[in-house]
Amino acid sequence: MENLYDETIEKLISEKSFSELNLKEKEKVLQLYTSLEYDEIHKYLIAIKLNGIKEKDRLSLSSKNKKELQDYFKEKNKPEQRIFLNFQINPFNVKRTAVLAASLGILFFIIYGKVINQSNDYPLSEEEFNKYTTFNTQEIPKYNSDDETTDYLMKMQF
Amino acid sequence: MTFLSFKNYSKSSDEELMLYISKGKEKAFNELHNRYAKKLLYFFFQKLNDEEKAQDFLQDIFIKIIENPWKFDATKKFSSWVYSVAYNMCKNEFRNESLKSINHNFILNNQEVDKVPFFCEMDLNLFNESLKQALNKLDETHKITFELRYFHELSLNEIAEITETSIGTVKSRLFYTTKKLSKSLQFLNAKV
Repeated sequence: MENLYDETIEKLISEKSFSELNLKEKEKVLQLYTSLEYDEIHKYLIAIKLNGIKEKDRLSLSSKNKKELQDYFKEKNKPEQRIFLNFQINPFNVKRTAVLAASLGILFFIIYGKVINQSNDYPLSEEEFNKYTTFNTQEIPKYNSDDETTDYLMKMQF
Repeated sequence: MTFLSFKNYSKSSDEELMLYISKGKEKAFNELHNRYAKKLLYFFFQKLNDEEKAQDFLQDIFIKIIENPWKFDATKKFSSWVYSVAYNMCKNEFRNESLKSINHNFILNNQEVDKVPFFCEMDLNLFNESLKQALNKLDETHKITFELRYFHELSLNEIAEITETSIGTVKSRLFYTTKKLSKSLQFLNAKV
């Protein structure tokens, strides 16, 4: 019989008195309760609900307790701090991390520009320039090849 | 990229909040506290009948959440889990202090009881006390099932998880308890 007890019955009990039920509903609830029992339970559940609302309203949360919990949460989840080159790095401190990253970036570009690019900026004199860009074909030694393809290419007329 | 975006935790489920809490998100903890603190305070007060102790228990349960968020099984509903923890805390307290037989006396804070249908002439204090006594006569499983359902409005599924039983058993316990209460509280009828 208790298998008949479900959310539908509960809803009826909490919302309607026995006299407010229609015939079909009455038939359903009478399988479990007498009309008297039904009305009593109906009243009790309403009283429990009202009392619950009153009690919840009356009970107040302690703001001091909440603050303590928040502080404890912060303390418990404090990010791990590491010491690097005398700098205290806090990975969750965005400003500090950003400033440090930017400084490292600037430093990198200064070193890159001064040291690595320096060799490419060496100015050539005209004499040096000609030396590296002018070729005397007659000075090129005659080739000796056993390779047929090289022979063919060398004999080609352009 | 959390420092660039402001997560709105109010839309997150309880289970998601627990995940964020385990990652140290303070706002997620605040949201969960806002959702459950009052409900749990009422649960503790209703079980312990001592407001100060209820506040302490509330504090303790949130400390447990802060210290061991990983103890929450993410495959389960948070509400079922947190009420299970709260219920076990109360059971331990009963065991330690032998409070089980204590006479409950609800204090209504000198507030005038609003006039409500059926109870306009009935003393709600008397009803509460009688109900508590009637529930105390029942075994613990029936009592907690009834309380979770009608005092704390948990679903049948949640109650089944908390009491580690089937939904069928929960329904059966509720039916038995309502039937029993209708008999044991019959004397109030004359006052209604």
